[in-house]
Amino acid sequence: MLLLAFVALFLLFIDTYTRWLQPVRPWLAELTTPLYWVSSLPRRIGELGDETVVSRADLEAEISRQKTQLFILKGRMQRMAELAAENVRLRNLLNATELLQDSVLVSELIGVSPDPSRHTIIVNRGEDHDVFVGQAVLDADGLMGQVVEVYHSSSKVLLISDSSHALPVQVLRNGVRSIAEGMGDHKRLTLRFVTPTTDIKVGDQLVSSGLGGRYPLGYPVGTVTSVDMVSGNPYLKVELEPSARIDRSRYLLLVFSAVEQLGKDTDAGE
Amino acid sequence: MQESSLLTYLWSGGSIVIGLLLQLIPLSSTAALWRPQFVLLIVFYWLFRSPFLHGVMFAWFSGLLLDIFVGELLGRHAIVFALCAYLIRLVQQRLHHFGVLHQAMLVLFMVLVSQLLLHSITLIFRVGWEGSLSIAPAITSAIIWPLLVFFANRLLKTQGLEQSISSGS
Repeated sequence: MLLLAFVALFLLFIDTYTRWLQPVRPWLAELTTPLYWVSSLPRRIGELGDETVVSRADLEAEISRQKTQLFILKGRMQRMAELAAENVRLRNLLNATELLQDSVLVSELIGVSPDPSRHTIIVNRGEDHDVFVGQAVLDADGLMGQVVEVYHSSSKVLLISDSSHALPVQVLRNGVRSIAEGMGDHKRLTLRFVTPTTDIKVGDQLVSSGLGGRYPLGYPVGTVTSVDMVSGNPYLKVELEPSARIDRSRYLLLVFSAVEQLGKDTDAGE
Repeated sequence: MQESSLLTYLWSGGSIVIGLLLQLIPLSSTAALWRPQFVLLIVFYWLFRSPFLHGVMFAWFSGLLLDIFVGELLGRHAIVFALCAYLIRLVQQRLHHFGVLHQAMLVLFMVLVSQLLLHSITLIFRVGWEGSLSIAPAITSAIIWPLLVFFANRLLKTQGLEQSISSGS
């Protein structure tokens, strides 16, 4: 008993204070992936059922809805092309660097941390697909998190709602900078150290500011849901609702930031 | 005797894998808070069922397996499960007189102890962690215990393993 307890304590210590277990982790992850896959089966089967058994009317409604959406988006795209061209012209005038496009890799969620106090997920892309630690992860609506561990064919993503996660943001309306922190709740984030004179209102859109170099600039993070002055507290209590559907999204995008790729290319060139 | 104990280990190992699966199935964040400690329950089942073959060592390995799958601090569940098994061992003699409800009370207490230990260990080893201690898993574990015992006994009976496993030695 004592021996086993000591072995466990020893493991805990080296796991916390050294990096000796780093090379072992990918192998352990390989071992665990099949079971994670099996554990996600019930949901997959449920979804398969939903996909195969759909009424004709539903499908038709879905198609017409999508057609309308496509039409609207195409209309906006026309504006976009014009705006992008104009933007490039203006940037040329300013002698600024060309606006770079980020490229993305689609990945699928294969596992969720069983510990409710830890917001991490596992996605099915890893070293084989050039995923790297610190890479930003998006869903269709906004920022989801960042890659913290990369295994051979899967990787672990820390979500922005985890209580140990902080992310530099700015208000879309006026560019006020702040830091959005997770609270261990999928539906809420908080801004720390916002002074009472800061211009921030309920309904403000927050986007990633790109400071700190981790997250690319300009992806939606959340919307301010409450701004409260707590008496006795020198700072405002600001809460936001994340744009990304953090506990629902199934398909995620791994961002290869253009700046990152540029760096890699020059490295290769040298 | 050798063969029957090997068979028993196969069964207990298999049941632990099923427990891991139940522990890993993705749930919504509220439901995950109420998820019973399936692996610990299965460890308890085998500790009660065949104490000669399953002891602290079995609990330790099950815990380590869970740690590997959860992928956080390695050794966290191992030490807690081993400690729980040790505590169960201390009251082993009395266990024979316990009914299922009595056992459920013991399970409630032990899962509570395990939650407390897991919480303290995480607080010590993960700097800046802000989780809260929850008694929900203990309650659901105790509720699910009689069901688990009932179905596991039924299963082993239909497989004709009753005799070889309960003799245990």
